[in-house]
Amino acid sequence: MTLLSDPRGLSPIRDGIGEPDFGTPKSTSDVTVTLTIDGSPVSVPAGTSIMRAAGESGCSIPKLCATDSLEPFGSCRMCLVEIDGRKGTPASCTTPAEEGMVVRTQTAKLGKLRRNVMELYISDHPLECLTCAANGDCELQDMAGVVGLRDVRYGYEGENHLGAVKDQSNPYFDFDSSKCIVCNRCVRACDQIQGTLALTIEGRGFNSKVSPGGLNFLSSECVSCGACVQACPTGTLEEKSVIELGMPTRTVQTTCAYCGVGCTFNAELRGDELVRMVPAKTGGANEGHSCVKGRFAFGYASHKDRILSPMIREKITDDWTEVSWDEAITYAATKFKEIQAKYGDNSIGGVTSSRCTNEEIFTVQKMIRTAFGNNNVDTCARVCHSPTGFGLSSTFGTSAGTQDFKSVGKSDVILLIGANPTDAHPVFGSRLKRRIRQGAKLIVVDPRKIDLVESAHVKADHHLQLQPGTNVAVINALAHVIATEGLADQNFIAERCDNDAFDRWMKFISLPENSPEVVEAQSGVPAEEIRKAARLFATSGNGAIYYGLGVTEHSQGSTMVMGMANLAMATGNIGREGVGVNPLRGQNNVQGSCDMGSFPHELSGYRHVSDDAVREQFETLWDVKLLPEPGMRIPNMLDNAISGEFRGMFVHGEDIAQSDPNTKHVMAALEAMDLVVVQDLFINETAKFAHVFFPGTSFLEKDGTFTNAERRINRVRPVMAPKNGKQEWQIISELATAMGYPMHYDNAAQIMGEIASITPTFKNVSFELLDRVGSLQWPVNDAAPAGTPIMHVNGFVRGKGLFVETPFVPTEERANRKFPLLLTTGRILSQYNVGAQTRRTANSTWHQEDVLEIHESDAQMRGIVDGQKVAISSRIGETVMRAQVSARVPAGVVYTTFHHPLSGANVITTEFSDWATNCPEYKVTAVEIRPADSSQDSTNSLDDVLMKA
Amino acid sequence: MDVAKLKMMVNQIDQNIPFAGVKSDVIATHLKKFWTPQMRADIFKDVQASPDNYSSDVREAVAKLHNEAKA
Repeated sequence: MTLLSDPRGLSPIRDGIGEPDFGTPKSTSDVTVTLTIDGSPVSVPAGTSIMRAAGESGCSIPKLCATDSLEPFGSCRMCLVEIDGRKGTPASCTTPAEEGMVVRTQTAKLGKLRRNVMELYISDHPLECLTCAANGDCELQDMAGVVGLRDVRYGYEGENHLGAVKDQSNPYFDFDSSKCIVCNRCVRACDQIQGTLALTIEGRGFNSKVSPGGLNFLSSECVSCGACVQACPTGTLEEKSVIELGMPTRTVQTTCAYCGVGCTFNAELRGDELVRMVPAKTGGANEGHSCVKGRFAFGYASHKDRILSPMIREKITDDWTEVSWDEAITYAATKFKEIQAKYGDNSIGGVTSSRCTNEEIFTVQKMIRTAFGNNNVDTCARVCHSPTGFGLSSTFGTSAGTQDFKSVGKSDVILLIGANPTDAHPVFGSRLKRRIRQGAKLIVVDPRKIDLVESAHVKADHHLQLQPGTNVAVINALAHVIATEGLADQNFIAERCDNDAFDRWMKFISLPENSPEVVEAQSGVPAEEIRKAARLFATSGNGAIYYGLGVTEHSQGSTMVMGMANLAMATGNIGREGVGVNPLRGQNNVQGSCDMGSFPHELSGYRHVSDDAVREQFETLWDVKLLPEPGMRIPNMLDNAISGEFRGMFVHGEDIAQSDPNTKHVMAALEAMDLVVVQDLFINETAKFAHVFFPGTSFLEKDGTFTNAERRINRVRPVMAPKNGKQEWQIISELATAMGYPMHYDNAAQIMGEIASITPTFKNVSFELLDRVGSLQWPVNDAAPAGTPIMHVNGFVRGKGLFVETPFVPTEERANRKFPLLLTTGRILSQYNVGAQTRRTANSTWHQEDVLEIHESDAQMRGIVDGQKVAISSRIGETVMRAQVSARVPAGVVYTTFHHPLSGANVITTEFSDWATNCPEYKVTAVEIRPADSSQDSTNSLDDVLMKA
Repeated sequence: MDVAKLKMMVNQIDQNIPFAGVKSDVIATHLKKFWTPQMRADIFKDVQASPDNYSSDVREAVAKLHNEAKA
């Protein structure tokens, strides 16, 4: 393998693999200093290290303990330089460049010093380079060559660490401390990048060694983000896949398909085999960081359960028959048309998926509006962030978060509501922790004691541990304090907001019913705690609000989003870095699926179907008449299926039988339909009700774009050819064509071209531009050709910001004598949503089943002990899980995840939903718990529900 | 569609919808924007059949939509 010295970096990079490493982080100073390095003048921002200045000018200084993702450490003594007028040989990584400085990086003296240091390293390092998995990707090996080491005078027989036992406990990487040079890069990465501090240096002097603290990596606090593996300059921490398959030989840059952070990865391959996913430093969302899912859990794409051939069957009780693509598409099209002929145009519809690309989603909604001839298209965003769209468009004028992720680095106080980023959005969670450790204040509003309330070096200033279902009461109480204690930003409000609406809101929010003292009785949060938190948020400088599904998945989800927007406007926290209202989107492309016109009332770019001018544009482009009325939402389609009016559904990459509430109802609806077409990777729970199965493509095969929670449009590039033989947009186009609406694209870039031509916020987006600049945050148009990292800078999209009155209306789902506990749900770090992907990877090592967290007093009262199987019943259904007695939940509240179909968490969730959008109220279900009777209760799998339905 | 569910939905909208001005207009606009014509027709029938189950604002809103659809 060829080793090339990158002219812009210090570390040699392998041909086409890896990114340049300048040794120390980039300085953001506006002041420039000019120095001389090896006789050449170099100008860099003040604060830049000599090492980086040299690297940027193409002059390579040897290094081992330095890497540009970490603060300089100065321990390896390889990067020594000589500086005119200064004594000694300072480390270039820790010495800032100064105006007029004259530096020499290559002298006989330096060469000798470096060789001597390297000699010591190599005297205690296994000399097995030819068989080492890191051969060709080892900085120690490279540097030994660079400094010209030819011999080790000390021999290899003395005391050493060569016999150290390998730690192979982690399913994804090995730790071979015999190869460790104790450079601290892994320890510092765990601290500075991930913020978990799972690693430490144990012992002193010769006995110093990297340690995961516990018995081994698996039993330690390590979250397997991979930052340590990434940072390791030797083969000490190495991916098992590299050990097994060998060093990759080519790279394709693409975007992760898990959560809404949307991390950029370099997929590194040998031939067509994916060896590893390495987070890209150039990734706008992640800047070189990753989590256990994106970094390692990609094995599902080649899992044996994947279906690669189309299949059909007459009845859902029949066995599947594999058929050709033509036959499957013709079969589905014919059946859909037969249903429409018999029951009317409105009797079919479809669902788009937030896991798919913008281009795939756009073609699905286009197929439904054109070939199906109706607006019965909805998206899984319905069940997660639809209230975000409603709330933020009502108050600010656009259905999206206001900031980029980087913005949190400028926040002084962070209000985190109904979100658990260290589990559900881990890479953003690490950014957040970093900022808190730098001194930003944190207010957590959550019924559960999430990690950020108190964990290693992070402690929230206030934890408003509210009762599930009382978000709006608490946000109103926070705003009440700000309004009545004169803490509002009057200048911002006068200049930027609708003043009549503000006056009305002031009267409303100042009412005694919104006071913390009244809200204490409703929410359980002490009034004084609310008052302190409100004062902190209003007076600490830049205040940012981040929130998740704990806000939206309530009967007042939309009201709560507007309440948070009110709070941000009242405190002047909109329109600059460090502030804003920021949804943490659940899936990779929730933002994109909403942008692309997946809702039944909107065309792409959030334009209502009743707008004649907009509709006319689409009608001209698509050469078809469109309906001016909204179509059905998912719950409407399901209800109408049960009543017999809705007979056929195209389900694109969704598992509504597992993910939607009241499973029994969903299954009954699916069973009632004449035709269910599922396009997915696996036979998921929904596919058990399907008549046609179109095999889909994994993100590694897709060609298109995802749009993350910060409106960042990222390229998804095909790492390998589609295993099913077709891109998903091709399948959809062929189905539309078979139904009588000719649809054809040569490639995904053409689809983006069509999206850009018809969607003002995407006007200048193209694959060519994305490939050139990396990523773009919409709006991307003539006014903002480079995109828009921060929204509403000089004014709100709607003109003036609109304050909205948000009275608290308690949910009808309440605890009572029969169901005295409130169940709330969430995600865990290692698993993702319904688990279709992560359950098919080694991530199941950490979470083999969903468990029910229950407070000790509630457990004791019911005779339940930790680990015992318990039956959980709501008025909708019953399921069985293992209890985990936990101090994370308060008495009266229980909590579980929904990653496993076996536990069937949604068997018990109810039909209540957000008043404006019908987003289900997953976060509040009244339940009772009892010890499971093994003779009668069994885990209520979805199959069981089906049998009983 | 299940009329009981539509009833629950519209009454929830009535309880929650923020408004400045005439509330029935705001409810009507919401239903027009997000509900299918069939849902609006079904709720109109139920309001006619059981007006006591609905507030005056809801009654006015669905009547406005009905008249608009007829016009």
